[in-house]
Amino acid sequence: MKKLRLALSKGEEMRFLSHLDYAQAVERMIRRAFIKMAYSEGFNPHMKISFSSALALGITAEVEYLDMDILEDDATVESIMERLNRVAPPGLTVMSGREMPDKVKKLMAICNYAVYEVSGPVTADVNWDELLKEFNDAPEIAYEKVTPKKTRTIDVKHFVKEPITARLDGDRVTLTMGIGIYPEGTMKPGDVWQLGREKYGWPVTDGYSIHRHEIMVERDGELLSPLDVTL
Amino acid sequence: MVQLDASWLQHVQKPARYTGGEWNSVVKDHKDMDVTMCFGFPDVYEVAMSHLGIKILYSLLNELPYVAAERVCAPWHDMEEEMRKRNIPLYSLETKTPVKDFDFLAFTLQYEMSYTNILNMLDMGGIPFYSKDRDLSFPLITAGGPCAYNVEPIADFVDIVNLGESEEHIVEMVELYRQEKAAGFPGGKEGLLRKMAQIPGNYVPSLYEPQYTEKGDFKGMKVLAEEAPAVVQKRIIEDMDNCFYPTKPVVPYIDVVHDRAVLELFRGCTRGCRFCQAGMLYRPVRERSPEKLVQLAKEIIANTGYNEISLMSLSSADYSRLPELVDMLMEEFKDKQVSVSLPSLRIDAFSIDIAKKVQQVRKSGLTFAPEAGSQRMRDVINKGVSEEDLIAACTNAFKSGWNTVKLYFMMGLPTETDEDVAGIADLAYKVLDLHREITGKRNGKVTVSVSFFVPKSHSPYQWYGQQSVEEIHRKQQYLKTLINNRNISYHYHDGATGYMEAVFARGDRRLAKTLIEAWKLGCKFDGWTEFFSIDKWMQAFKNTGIDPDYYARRDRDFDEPLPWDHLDDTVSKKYLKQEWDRAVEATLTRDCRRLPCNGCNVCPELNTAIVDYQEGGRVEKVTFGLK
Repeated sequence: MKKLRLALSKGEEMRFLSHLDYAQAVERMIRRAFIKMAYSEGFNPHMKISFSSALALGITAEVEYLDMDILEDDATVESIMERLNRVAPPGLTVMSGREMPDKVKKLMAICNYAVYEVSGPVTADVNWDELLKEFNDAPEIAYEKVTPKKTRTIDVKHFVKEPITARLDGDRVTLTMGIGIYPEGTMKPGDVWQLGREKYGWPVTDGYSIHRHEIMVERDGELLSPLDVTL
Repeated sequence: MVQLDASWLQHVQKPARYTGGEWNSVVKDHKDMDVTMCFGFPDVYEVAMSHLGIKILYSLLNELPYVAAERVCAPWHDMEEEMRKRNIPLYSLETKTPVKDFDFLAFTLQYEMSYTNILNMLDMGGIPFYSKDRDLSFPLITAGGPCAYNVEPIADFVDIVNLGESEEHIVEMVELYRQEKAAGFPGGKEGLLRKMAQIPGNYVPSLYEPQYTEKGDFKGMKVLAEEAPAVVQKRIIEDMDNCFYPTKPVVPYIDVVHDRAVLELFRGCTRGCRFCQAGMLYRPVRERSPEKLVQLAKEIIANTGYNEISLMSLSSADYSRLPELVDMLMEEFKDKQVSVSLPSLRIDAFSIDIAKKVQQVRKSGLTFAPEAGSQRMRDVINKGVSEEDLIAACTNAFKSGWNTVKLYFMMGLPTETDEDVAGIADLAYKVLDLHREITGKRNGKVTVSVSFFVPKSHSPYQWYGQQSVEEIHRKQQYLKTLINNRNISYHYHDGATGYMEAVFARGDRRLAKTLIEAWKLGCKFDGWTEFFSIDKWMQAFKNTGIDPDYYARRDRDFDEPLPWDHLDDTVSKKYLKQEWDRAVEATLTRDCRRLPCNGCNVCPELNTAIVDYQEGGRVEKVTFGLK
């Protein structure tokens, strides 16, 4: 058995796939590529693959990471990538990859930082650098996080530590935000957008789209690509 | 091209229903195409993408280098609201082209209760309902599928109806259109339609005018053009092994109703259940060879990445070489994590052996359809299944580890008495007791599902007046009093949907205005219980001065002209009448597949024969037609 870590995209064509839909599309791609995979034991064997995150419906990703256990010991990473790309659905490209040691930690357990770009039309002409100051300088921001099960108050700044930056393109603004993913939870980029709109006077509407620019491993103040974390 | 913006699209339910881009979907530049056709499915994406007919025709047409075939489904309520608010016309999934800009918009008619969705889709597409109000700047609206055999209630909306199997037919239609288009449509739309009417299997409703007696009864069809045949006969493909079959079907991204590879084993079914329209429409039985099927299965799995393959047919367990086929498929896929599934089982111990083989680990429920509770009633409908068969099947199943059995029945069948209804409860109890007897456990579960029988055109029950909704509700409640066991669950539907279905299953052209009225009152997605409103429908009948009982509940005379007499599935009326008589006497009619011909007329009329690989392929035997 061989463990591979691949970097792949979730493009515009796949924007509206839920995490499970995306995972199924990846599984079917692997099957079309005739890659001999390791399966779980039991009544209902599952292909041994795991992702770095559960990308929500509506979000595209520059890069998503995938770990897969293959039973082709002689295959090179390059040959696997090439076989996958030949049968990849529109919007999905396998961009890079690397063989990982067998005992490597799960992607989900190490990826703790994501950078999102949230964009949508602006409703007023403003100086965004000025406008974002209040949010960026606040030491803490209380936010009522509502889930179907319960409502609790969280501190937005615990998750959004880096200043948010804005880029204007005609009548659209793109806000870039780095968000921490911790054992205690995370903050949805769409919720940050709505919070800014409601509490900080950001001149935007509830029409926005989200692109995840990166997902990374933050370790000792350093940001690493999951491909470079082999421990 | 329609522009979709993620900022609002992400707020509708399951936006991937509307964005296309699936694996194996075909995107072609319309500039380079001679003919464009959009297949319209009048229900939501998940249902549409489970339909084999569209998969076949979509792939078949896209093989032609000069044709672009695309898809459109009925947008769900939330999406419709957004589209109307934003002035987005109904568009195709592949190129996001408004459906109005295609040469053809081809609807599949699976179910009468989808007719309002067709109107709604036309309206969303900016296309006038009536064929007479459309010139050639609009697409030709075509329709096919089982309901095409009595298309009359929507005939005024459709330009061309395709009767029967379309693999050859649709290509002839597209070819003719291509020639006419190149010539600049010399005869205009009418000239084009007159030519279209000459293609066998094509029915052009505008070339026929229904005649009524003074009393208002249907009297016959007046043929308005010499190009139009008095009777339109269905098309079939005899040689299934050499018939096109899609090995690169579109693979949906989101979960659809049947999310797996589909292998069509054969067409037709000659068991001759008298309530079953499909059993008459798709005659004769024509099988694919096991070798061909395995080859198709390999290609489909390789091209899709599916991990399940479903063996589909009207009655898959009747495939003559099923055990052999299953063995071959299991051998082929044994190291590839591909499972084989059988959607329907015949009621006998043999079927369970096959089911055991294909479901080696997961023992999900088994489904059987005895259809009626008493032996007498089963003989009336020619089901040809006995209680012993069911007990033998369940014995085998329970011994093999199954604990859940689902039983399907119908209520409202001709000659039915309360005794027959009570037989449903008896059977359910017998199956449950059998489980306890065999396993010694009390965890057996029986689900009883009872539907309301709808008499359909082209079946031996086409003359039968449907029982009243009140009577059905009474019987439903009566049966409920007979089932008092927490291990038996009993499901039934409101009778009103079946009543409306019965109106349109045997309706005529006068119902067109009722359909439009119902649509105006807000009827759509009528097949979905939560959206069906009998009050709106009854209002629509009232507003248009039509009595629904005239169509649904009236016993028709055997010599009465029927509004679908000109739409010929080649089963003779005399044969259907004979079947009706035998039904009343509870006399069985044999399956002609391996026994002598019963005279239904299909084989001699179409100059064809049964294809059965247990008999070595095409079965040469004497066939005749009762005339």
